[in-house]
Amino acid sequence: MIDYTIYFRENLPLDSEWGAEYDIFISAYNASDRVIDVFNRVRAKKKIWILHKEYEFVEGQYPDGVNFVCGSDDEADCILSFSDAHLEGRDITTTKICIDITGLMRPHLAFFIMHLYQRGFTKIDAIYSEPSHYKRKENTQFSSTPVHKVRQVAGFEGVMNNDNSNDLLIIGAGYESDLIADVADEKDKAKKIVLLGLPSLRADMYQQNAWRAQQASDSIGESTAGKVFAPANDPFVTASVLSELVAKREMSEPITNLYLSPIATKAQTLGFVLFFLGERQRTSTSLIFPFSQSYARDSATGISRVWLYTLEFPFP
Amino acid sequence: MIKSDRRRSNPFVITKAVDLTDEQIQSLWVDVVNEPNAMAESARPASPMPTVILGGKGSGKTHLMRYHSYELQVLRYREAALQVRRGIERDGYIGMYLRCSGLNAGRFSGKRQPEERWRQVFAYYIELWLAQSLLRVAIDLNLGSEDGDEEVLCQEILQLFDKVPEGNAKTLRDIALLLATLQKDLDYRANNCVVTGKLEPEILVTAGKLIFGVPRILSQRYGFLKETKFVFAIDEYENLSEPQQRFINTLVRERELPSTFRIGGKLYGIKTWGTESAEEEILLNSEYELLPLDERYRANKSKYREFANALIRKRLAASFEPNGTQEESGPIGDISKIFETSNTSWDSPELYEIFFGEPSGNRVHFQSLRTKLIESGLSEGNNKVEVEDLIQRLAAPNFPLLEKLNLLLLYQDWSNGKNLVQSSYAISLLCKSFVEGNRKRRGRYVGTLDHYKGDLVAQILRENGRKQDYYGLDNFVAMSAGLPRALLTILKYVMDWSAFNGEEPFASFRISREAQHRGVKDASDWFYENMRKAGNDGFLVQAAIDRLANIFRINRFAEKPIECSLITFSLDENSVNLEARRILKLAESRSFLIRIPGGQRERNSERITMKFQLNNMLAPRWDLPLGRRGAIPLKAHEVDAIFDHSKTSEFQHVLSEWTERTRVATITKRIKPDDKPNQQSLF
Amino acid sequence: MTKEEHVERLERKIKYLSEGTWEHRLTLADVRAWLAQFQVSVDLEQDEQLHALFLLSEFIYFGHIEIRELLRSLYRDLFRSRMIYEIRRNHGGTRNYAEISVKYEELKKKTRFLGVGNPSESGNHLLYYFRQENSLGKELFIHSHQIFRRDTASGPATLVVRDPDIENYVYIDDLCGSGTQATQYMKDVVRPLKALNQNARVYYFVLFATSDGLKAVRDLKCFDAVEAVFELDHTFKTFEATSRVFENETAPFLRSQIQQTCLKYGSQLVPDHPLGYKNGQLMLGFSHNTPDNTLPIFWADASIGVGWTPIFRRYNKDYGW
Repeated sequence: MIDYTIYFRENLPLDSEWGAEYDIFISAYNASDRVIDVFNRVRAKKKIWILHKEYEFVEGQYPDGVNFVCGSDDEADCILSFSDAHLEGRDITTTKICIDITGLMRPHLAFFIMHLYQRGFTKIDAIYSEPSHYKRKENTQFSSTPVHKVRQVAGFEGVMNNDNSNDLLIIGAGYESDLIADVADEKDKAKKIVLLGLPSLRADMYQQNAWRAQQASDSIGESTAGKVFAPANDPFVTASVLSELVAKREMSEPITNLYLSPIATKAQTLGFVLFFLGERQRTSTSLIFPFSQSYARDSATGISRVWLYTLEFPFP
Repeated sequence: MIKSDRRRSNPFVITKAVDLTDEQIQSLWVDVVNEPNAMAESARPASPMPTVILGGKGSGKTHLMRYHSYELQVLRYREAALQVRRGIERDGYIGMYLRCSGLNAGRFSGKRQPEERWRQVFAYYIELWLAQSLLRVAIDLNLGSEDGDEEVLCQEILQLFDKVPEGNAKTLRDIALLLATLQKDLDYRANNCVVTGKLEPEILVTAGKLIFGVPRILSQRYGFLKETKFVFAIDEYENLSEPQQRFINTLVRERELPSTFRIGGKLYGIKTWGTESAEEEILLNSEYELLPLDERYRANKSKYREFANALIRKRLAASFEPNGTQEESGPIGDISKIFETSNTSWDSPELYEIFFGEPSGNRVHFQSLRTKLIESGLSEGNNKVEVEDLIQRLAAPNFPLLEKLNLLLLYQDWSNGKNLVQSSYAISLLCKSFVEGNRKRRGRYVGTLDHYKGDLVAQILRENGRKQDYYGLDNFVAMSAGLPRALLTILKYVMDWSAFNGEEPFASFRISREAQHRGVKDASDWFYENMRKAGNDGFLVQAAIDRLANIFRINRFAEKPIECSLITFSLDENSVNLEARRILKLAESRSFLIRIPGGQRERNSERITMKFQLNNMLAPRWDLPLGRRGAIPLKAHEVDAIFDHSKTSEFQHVLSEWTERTRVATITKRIKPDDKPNQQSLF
Repeated sequence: MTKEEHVERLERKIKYLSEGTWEHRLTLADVRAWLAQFQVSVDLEQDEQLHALFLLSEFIYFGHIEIRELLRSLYRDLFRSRMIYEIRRNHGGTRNYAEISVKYEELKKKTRFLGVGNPSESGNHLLYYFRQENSLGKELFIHSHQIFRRDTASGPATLVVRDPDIENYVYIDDLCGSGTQATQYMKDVVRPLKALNQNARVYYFVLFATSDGLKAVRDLKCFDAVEAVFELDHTFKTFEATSRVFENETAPFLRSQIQQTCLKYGSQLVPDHPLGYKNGQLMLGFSHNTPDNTLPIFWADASIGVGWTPIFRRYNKDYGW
């Protein structure tokens, strides 16, 4: 078990300049206020926008600056191509990298972090921003099309254990009850634990999230662990919670296959990735995700809090 | 204490086989083996013929497959104090249950590798996967080790490999470890090929060699296995892609005894019946049998009812076990009594109470008649109809249902151009006679009552702002349309509402109509929403069903329904357009529509029409009936308008047509009572 | 939609909430008994019962499991992480967990946790669970009066810090509505303390705080940090223009009408604060308490001298933790 909570998580102020200067700053464009705001505030020698295929931007809608267009459906392909284009030849110990994870597609985020970890980068700053204004909650849909092909995220496939008598699926649950249901249905026969964001980003969101998760309860079945929580904007606590949870389960009965599905906030997703990298590589653990052809762009506006997570690799 | 009772967990909460342990499956299994056509019997676990078991969500398919798996077999033998080997010998099969979801088969494609390469990898993977499950059983049975010939056995098995693997496998465990290592290696190569750029595993054994060869060896070596079938039961077939299914279909077709297969999947899960040999499909009834679980339950209503009863009883007993005894005579004895029902017989005081003693003439249904008569101009002129007299003749103040029946008969006569006054006298007589006890089955009066009672009650309820009657266990069973899970879901929601209502269902054993109404509604919504997983097509299916249901609804609440208890329609498949046909098939595969086997043969042609019924679970959404009686043939243009989403205006047209057909047309110009009508649509 | 359809929809939502995060706290009977106190109207926009039902469906309630989790978060995310970061920074950014652990334990020994308000109020009740959830020793918890002592050794009694080794004083509360209480404490305790011991750091951490409340306390400029697990901005004031509840205002649930209803009854129930203490206008409740900043229609009862049946009682005795 690793205690990830020693890693730095701080707020960046909105009323003054940000001190850090990076060699390279990467962000995924989703046309939201805060992502653009952060892009402008960050100081870096090189700033690059990633344009995800799923957001379906056309050329006239591209932002100013260096753009990397992800042409592929495959997250590995996309990130590897990006890496070839922009990270080739950089010194892994001295290069100062900063990534705004807010707009990144989750599978790409996961693969990217893993890629950097495996390449040996030792310090990465990750930024996550919260909007000031959310659109009316209950019926918010983030995914445009309802077809979800649930599969493992590239690089996070793990070793398969044929014995699936004690499979466990941990879902980091957000608003979208249909995503939760699709993932849960895919691993129909596994035991399931739903991880809810608490503290949530705002006080009213927890109740809504819980309600939405309840709507997927038919697919989830009986909860095998009671309620499990991790803060919605803290990847480190999320990773620690997962670490503790899994360790506890393994003590009573070894998990045959562990499936992790982070479909809540990007910060929580990062937490799942850190846990995988820290403790679950080369085990029968995989990250699974409901993939869509397209993804709705962010409907939230404004900017309220900006978080900076300092990733220090490798884990002990 | 109120709160603790409310928090007591709902016995119907677990609605999927996933959550059940082996012990629970065994104890919750409702075995009707001694009955003819029993479910377990139909599955015929020792049959050498491969079986494809199709079932919608919650049909009990997994439950069935797991029941016939080795782990459950062992559990049963132990309970019967039978040696495992003797047990297997007696039963004649060994079931090996595997789930496709465990394969994570989505990773065996793309990643910049050619499909042919993936096909080889997949085939090899499956061989290793199935062989390992076989070995697990062999090891558990102590084959070889107990019989003293393990080393020789292993040698024989190793000879099956195209290239004998390195190492010195002397025990079955060694071989199992070997296979596991090979699989792990394959996992690694498959997962990493995007980074390494290569996918070149060394394939040590071709498909079928182990999974057909090892059972053969075992049955030859060990007497008790002589007649045993080795059944690979592969569940969740829908998780495989089309080429992957093609491969497995090929294995099924090329099987060698004593091995055979069971394939389990959702209705829409079979992507292909094709094999890898040039366009050939595996053939129904000669190469495989089909066990469509939903249909079996539906086909035999009384058996399903018994099954449902037993299932519920078991669930409740399991829930009460810690506290009380499991006597049949307890409150669980007659479960159906728990649910408060309605009395909707023709002389029901409940129906009477709806009108609060309102004189007949003021009742909604007669007000409609009055309006109609006035609008039609029949109440004026020389041969005017005396409206109030006519109403009085049709009135039966204590029996509102008979009043509705009388009106229906009148409307039918009206549509046929009959003289209204005369008609009303005739109906009045029939009514009186009926009330006095003359209930000839074949008469028009009783016959019409019999057919339309459901619809007429529904109309009374709706016209007077009451909820529709879906109360009682019989209705729940009917609504679940042969899906045990649907039944459990209805019960779960009903119990939840009852608890939320403060009824304390576990203490009082009385569940109100209100709780049932809410629960049924929630269950119907659940079905509607949960079955949408077909993506964008799911919306199209929902839209089509909305249209269809609206038509049925128009019929149900019309003055002159065309058919009684209408939720069924037939059509000539070939005359319908492609898109409509596609959505129709999709609706069927997703269980929104249920195919009625044995479509009608058209009277004047050789065409066989397809017949479908709306899934009962959806009925409450549109206040439709649960039981089906009448069926309506839909014309091609109607089917197109309903199922082809693009045909919006055509559908509006169909809707108006139906509205017209089911109304009594009123003609505004004056008609003398004995004039022959010339414009009315006769039905 | 007809009234019946609205009612069915809202009752269903409340049922799910009750079964889910509201700990089965309400039955339909409870809801209907509460609603019966309001008037109906043929005009849906004026139907007070519909208004009340709507508001109830928008209520935010945290059950005891969630409150305990928030108490964990308060400790872990507001206090502990702050201290850990400081330790790491003071030791060259070390990631040596053992090293950090030792230093943290030392620091913990020099920390004291305190409740805000009257000992009988919920804040102190909370401390017990805070301690339990975070496995903290009893000795780390004191009352405000234990911060000081009177030193009579050298002449007239002077105020002295009882334990000058203590470096961190952490005040904990469930809700900071207006900041009034903190302001009082600041005057009575914090200023004198800091005057006597410049190294002492005093923190004020709460589970919930309104933006106004946080600002008021921060403006005092005497706490070393003022943080809340949840900040309730102006969108949580039910009848403000920016209210989250009326964001997509659609008939028959109109803000102005519903506000009228709340004022009507609120002014009978709590004349000085018809929409909650200091015009809080909140719709927030916890398993152990419903704060009085919440609209009175939800919590007023005989204890404040009115004959009203609440739906979320103020101090809830039924729910033993």
